[in-house]
Parts: sequence; structure tokens; C-alpha cells
Amino acid sequence: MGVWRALLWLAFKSQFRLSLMKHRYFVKKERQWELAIYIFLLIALVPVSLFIVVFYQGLYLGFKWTGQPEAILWLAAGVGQLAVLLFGFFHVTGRLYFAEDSEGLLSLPVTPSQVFASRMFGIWAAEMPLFLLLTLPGFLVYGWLEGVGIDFYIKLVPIMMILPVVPLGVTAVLVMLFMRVTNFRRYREMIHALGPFILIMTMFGFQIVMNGGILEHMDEESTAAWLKDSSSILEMLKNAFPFAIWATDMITTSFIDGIMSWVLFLVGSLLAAIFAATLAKWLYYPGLVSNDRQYGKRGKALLKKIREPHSPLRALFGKEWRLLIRTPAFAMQVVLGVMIPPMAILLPMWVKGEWKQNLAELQALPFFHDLLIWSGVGAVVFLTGMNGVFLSSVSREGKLFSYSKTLPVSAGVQVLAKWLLALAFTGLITVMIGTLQFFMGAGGDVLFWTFLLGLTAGALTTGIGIGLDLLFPRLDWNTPQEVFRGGGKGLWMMLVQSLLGVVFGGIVWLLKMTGLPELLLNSLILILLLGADYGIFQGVKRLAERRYPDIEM
Amino acid sequence: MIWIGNVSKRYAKTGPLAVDGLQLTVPKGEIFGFLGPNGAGKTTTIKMITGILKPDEGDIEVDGVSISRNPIEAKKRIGYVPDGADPFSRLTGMEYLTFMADVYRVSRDERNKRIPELAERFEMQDVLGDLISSYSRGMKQKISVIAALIHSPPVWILDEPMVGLDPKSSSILKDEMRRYSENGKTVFFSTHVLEVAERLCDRLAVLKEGRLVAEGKLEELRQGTGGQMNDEQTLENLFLELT
Ligand SMILES: Nc1ncnc2c1ncn2[C@@H]1O[C@H](COP(=O)(O)OP(=O)(O)OP(=O)(O)O)[C@@H](O)[C@H]1O
Ligand SMILES: [Mg+2]
Repeated sequence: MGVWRALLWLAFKSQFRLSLMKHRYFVKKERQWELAIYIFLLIALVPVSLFIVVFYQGLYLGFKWTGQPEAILWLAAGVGQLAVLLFGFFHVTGRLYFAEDSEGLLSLPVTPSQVFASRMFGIWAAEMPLFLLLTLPGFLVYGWLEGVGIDFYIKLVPIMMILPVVPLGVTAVLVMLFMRVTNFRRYREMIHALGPFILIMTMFGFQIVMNGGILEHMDEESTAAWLKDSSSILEMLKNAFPFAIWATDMITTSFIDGIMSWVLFLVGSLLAAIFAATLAKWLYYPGLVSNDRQYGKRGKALLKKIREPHSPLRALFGKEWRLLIRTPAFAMQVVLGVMIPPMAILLPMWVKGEWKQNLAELQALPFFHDLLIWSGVGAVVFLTGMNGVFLSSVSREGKLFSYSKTLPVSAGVQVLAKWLLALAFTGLITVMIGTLQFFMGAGGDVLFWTFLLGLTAGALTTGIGIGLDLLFPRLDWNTPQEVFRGGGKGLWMMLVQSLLGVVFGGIVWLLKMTGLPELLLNSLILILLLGADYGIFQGVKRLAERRYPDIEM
Repeated sequence: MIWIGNVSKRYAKTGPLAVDGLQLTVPKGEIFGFLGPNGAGKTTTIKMITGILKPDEGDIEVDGVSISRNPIEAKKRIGYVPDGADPFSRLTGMEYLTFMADVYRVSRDERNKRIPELAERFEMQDVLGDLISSYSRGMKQKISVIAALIHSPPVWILDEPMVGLDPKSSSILKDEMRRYSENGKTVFFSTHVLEVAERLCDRLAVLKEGRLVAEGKLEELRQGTGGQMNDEQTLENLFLELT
């Protein structure tokens, strides 16, 4: 039993980074402000859970109207299981295959099934809050409104604890199969990096549902009507989540009446766990080792045509680009950062179907032209800030930073390459915004000015961001995901950006007041921005020359 | 030529000295072996020569150029193979080599000559199109050696270069080091393989707890111990005696 205890304890500690946190916050007393962020996040959960309670209450009333109030129970259980299935997929991938110590365990005298089971225990514990958040309110609403007895709440405890087991088992088997068949590291990492994406998308879905005014529409009759309309979907759900049905049966009937459900539920869950652990014996370890071999062009052919010499700056740019694009976690950060904010803004508008009218109203404004240009510039700067490539410019190098220090290229040029890379993405964003403007009816001059002003203003933010990363680099990461962890720099950047935005906006507004012709005014601002860019560049360059020798690892 | 002038370094402000007042000159055309027990400060010294770490005290010159006052020029003169070389794993071998050639400003003719030559010598031609992350330990070591030599630097620095190499590769590497010094260039390397040091090096230095405990030709070192050692005495005994 000693092995099991050690493994479970290890899994639990590494799952929640207990040792690290204890060391950081209480031994070294560092970054304690992060604790405040955690508390803030916890507080932010209160309105969410309230919303969920109200939502379940509406559903309950609807179900009651149709004469089957207990349907709320299996719906809640099913939703929770679905969420565990979905998020579990990425969670399991990360813990089983990308944890820092995953290969280290290979050589220990423990079986793959033991390692697997202990890790799954950690994941189960970590998934529990999400599951409870989504499912428990449904059961509690039912309990309160039906006025059930104490036995309901007693049975609730084991049911809540066991419900996530089956989806976790299913997801673990899927992950292990996936990792066994896809051997190429880049695709595996892609799956790993996709997790935050799904999380954010779900949050948007939630936002849209909230904005869609679903709560206002949830009176008894219409909910019942809606439930009737979608009865076939509900029927399907019922079949897809038999465990939710059994759980409902177990909790609403007496133990004797529901004995069949108890047996099915417990035996089924146990079997799922055993099945996954048994499969782990065959699938887990072989899938841990990945393949990086491209088997592309043979080297001999490459030797015949060695590429032309490039300048060091261009060579550095090429290297930065490849490292970014070929590391899924970094590539995702860029793509998501650019895509998500516009979606967050445009999607709800589109869902509400008001965008046409909104656009018409906007176009009628006398200052529509100016509005397009300056909101375009603002959007470029904002999205540049969101994609955050520049904020990890130095940190991305990780342990290879010491290689960079041996290169006979000045820190200024190395940083310039990073800046150009960030600017390339700002350029892409500008094109995207330009396209949007075009569809909103912008003319050539709007596109022209947005492009120039957006790029120069974006250069300013990226420059400042690179400076921040130079001051607080994070180079000691093991998996690329860690580069973005913490997010303290992002907060600083947001602060700096809003401050600059206010100053810049003020200057533009003042200049507008003078009533200068547009061409002159915009050129003036452009020159101003270029001057600021130059100043920031010189500053960052000097900072890099000073910081590079000092950053030791 | 490498000149290390009274260099000291500590990692933490209040920590112990990792390198303590090291004074050393490695002339042109010499293979110089750097020995010492684990944690003696060999890697630390090498990192200071290559510009990764900044000495707390003293200065280092490479071919007469100060690494602190003129780092770029000094770095151009160095080819460096780090300890446990693990270069850019997301680049292919060929991408890495052309990157290094660009950064060290190797001309078209030179790179067209040297890359195939070195790749063939170390038998790496077949894998140059693969990602470095797929290389074995020894292959990573070899691609780093090739990358370090691509600009034929006057000073070649290697930190435990024999680790992970098969017998054939390490013999090729030893030949390469010898050929390099015969061309009037400097080879400076740390190692724990005493046979290699014994056969290959013109001169040796032994470091212990950051301080130089012995320096010179092997024969000189033997005499330095006060005649207690006879000629048959191997370097191993000498090493054990000194450290
Ligand atoms: N990053 C670091 N932070 C703190 N101390 C370090 C660091 N790197 C090395 N040291 C310390 O500096 C001293 C010298 O280490 P160094 O790596 O130079 O030894 P070495 O001679 O290369 O040893 P080995 O033969 O094991 O490679 C050791 O005491 C070591 O603990
Ligand atoms: Mg060492």
C-alpha cells in the first residue's frame, strides 16, 4: 500500500502545484499579489453560480409544468458529465503526457496502471469544482423546491463523487488511443495547446446565452413549450448519459426501489475505471514516447543547394518565426489572441441580429469617417496587445537564451528581430481590420490612414512590451505553456496601454479641435508616432544592451 | 589565444566563489585540456569566456579582444560547443547550420564548401533535413560541433565534448581537434576522460573549487608534485593526488 500512498500523494501535490505554491508564497514570500487574483477569480464565480441556479430554477418549473420535475436532475448530471468529458480531454492530455515528470516515472518500479490511476485521481480532484459548479445547483434547486427529505442530501454525496468517473474514464481511453496513433510531436502538442481555446470559446458561449436574455424568456409556459419542441434531443441525451438517469433514479426513489440503478451505477463506474486502468497497461507508456522525425528531404539533397547567405538580422527573424510557428503553444497564443476579442465583440451583436441597424446608424453619423479611422487604429493596437507575441519575445527563448548570448550579434539587433516579428503580426491584424472596415463601407483613404497609423501605433506598444519582457523575462520553463503563466506582465501591459491610449487620444482630440485639414493632421500624428517609435526603439535597444549580459541562468 | 586575467565569479551575491582568481593563458596552436572534479568551475569559466556569464572581477581576452569591452568582435572569434549541447530543437539540422553561417557572416563559397565537408566528416548528411529534436544525444553533439566550426574560428571551445559520442565519432572529433591546432588555432576543452586529455593535450590545467591547482605540460605536472611520482605515473593518479 506504501506505493499507492506515495503515488496518490505525489499526483495530488503535483496536480495542484502545492509544493511550488507553498514555497513561493509562504517560504520565499514572492508574488503574493497572485493570491489576490485567485481570490478575485473565486469572487467572480459567485454571479456565475447564481446564474446557473436561476437557470436551473427556470428549467425546473418548465419540467414541472410538463409533469416530470425529476428531469432537471438527469439534465444537470448529464451537463456536468459532458463538461468533464470535454475539459477532461485536455486536462488528461496535459497531465498524462505533458507533465514535466511524465518520462521520469517510466523507470520507476511501478506499473503503468498505477501511475495512470494515481494521475487520474489528481485529475478527478481537479475536475470536481467544475463538475459541482455545473451540476450541484440543479440538484439543490430540485431538493429545495420539491422539499425532499434528508436522505436525498445523504445520497447526493456519493453520487456527486462518482458521476465524473465514467466521463473521465472515457476521455482517458480516447486520449491514450489518440496519443498511441499520432506519434508526431507537433500534433500532440496541438491538442495540448487547444485546451485554453475550448475554455475561452465556452465562456463566450456562456456570454452569448446570458446576453441573449435567456433568463427573461424563461417563464414556465414557454420553457415547457421549448422542452416539448426539443423532446427528441432530450430523449437522445437520455440515452447518451445512462448514468445520469440511474443517478436520478437512485436519488428520487427509496433504496430498495432503486436497487437496480444503484447496482448499474456503481458497477458501471467501477468497470469504467478498471477498463481504463487496464488499457493503460498497454497504451500509456508506448504512447508517451513521441516521434519528431520528419522524414522530409534527405540531407544529401539539401547539401547540393545550400541557401544563399542572409544578413544576421534576417537570419534571426527567420529563426524567431520558425520557433514561434513550430511551437503549438506559441502559435495558438498568437492566433487566439487575434481571433477571440473580435469574436467576443461581434458574435453577441450578430446573435442579437442588430448589427445591420447598428451599422446604418453609425454610417449616418457625421463623423463616421473619423470614427472608422480612429476606432480602426484603436482596434489594431488593442489586438496587437491581445496576441501578446511581443510580451514573450525574450521569454520564449527559454534555456536557449544562453545560446543567443554567445552569438556575435548585438543585443540590439537580436531584439530588433523580435520586434519585426511582432510587427509582422501587427501587419496581419491591420489587414484584418482593413477588411472589416472595407465591409463597413470605408474608402481608400480610411484604409490608407488606418494602415499607417495602426502600424506605427502598434510598433509603440510592441516596443514597450518587449522592454517589459526584457525587464522580467521568464526563461526557466520546461513546457512552452508555462511562458504565459502568471500573467502579471499582461496586466502591466494593459495598464500601460490604457494610459497611452488616454494620452494619445487626448493629443488627437486636441489637434482635432484646432480644425486642421485632415491630411495635415493625420500626417502630423503619423510623424509624432514615428518619432515616438524611434525613441522607444532606441530606449529598448539600450535596455537590451544593458540587460542581455545581466540576465544569467 | 585565450587570456584569462584574474577572473572571479559567484552565482549568488552571498554564495561561494564558483571561480576564484583564475589566471590562465592559452597560446595559439595549442590543445588545452581543462580538468577538475564535478563542480570545480570548469563550465562556469567556459561560460564566462563565451560571454554567457559576466565575470565579477577580472577580464578575458580572445585573440587579444576583450570579451567585456568588445563582446561582438570577441564572440566572432569563438566557436563554442556547450555542455550537453541541445540546440534549437524546432529547427532542422540544415536550418540551424545556415542560421549560424548567417549570424557569423560566412560567405557563400565558404559555406558551400564547409557545410558538406563537415557534415560528411561527422556522418550527418542523412539527417540534416530532420528536426534537431529528433536527434540522438550524440547527433546533437555533432551538429553543435559542425555549427561551431562553420566560420573556422581562431578559438574553439568545447565543454565535455566526448560525452555521448560513439568511439568512431569521438575519434573523428579528436582528429579534428588535432588538425585544428596544427593550423595554428586554439582548442580549449574540458573533459573528465583522462586518456583523451593525456593523449591529446599540449598542456593541461586542473581546477579545484574554482582555483587553479596545477597547470603545464603533463611532464611538468609530474615534476611539480615533487618527484614523488615516477614517469609511469598515469594522469589518473596525478589527478587524484591533486584534487
Ligand atoms: N546556475 C547556477 N546557479 C548557482 N550555482 C551554480 C550554477 N551553475 C553552477 N553553479 C555552482 O558553481 C560551481 C561550479 O560549477 P560548474 O558547473 O562550473 O562546475 P564544473 O566544473 O563544470 O562541473 P562538472 O564537471 O560537473 O561539469 C558549483 O559549485 C555549482 O554548484
Ligand atoms: Mg561542467
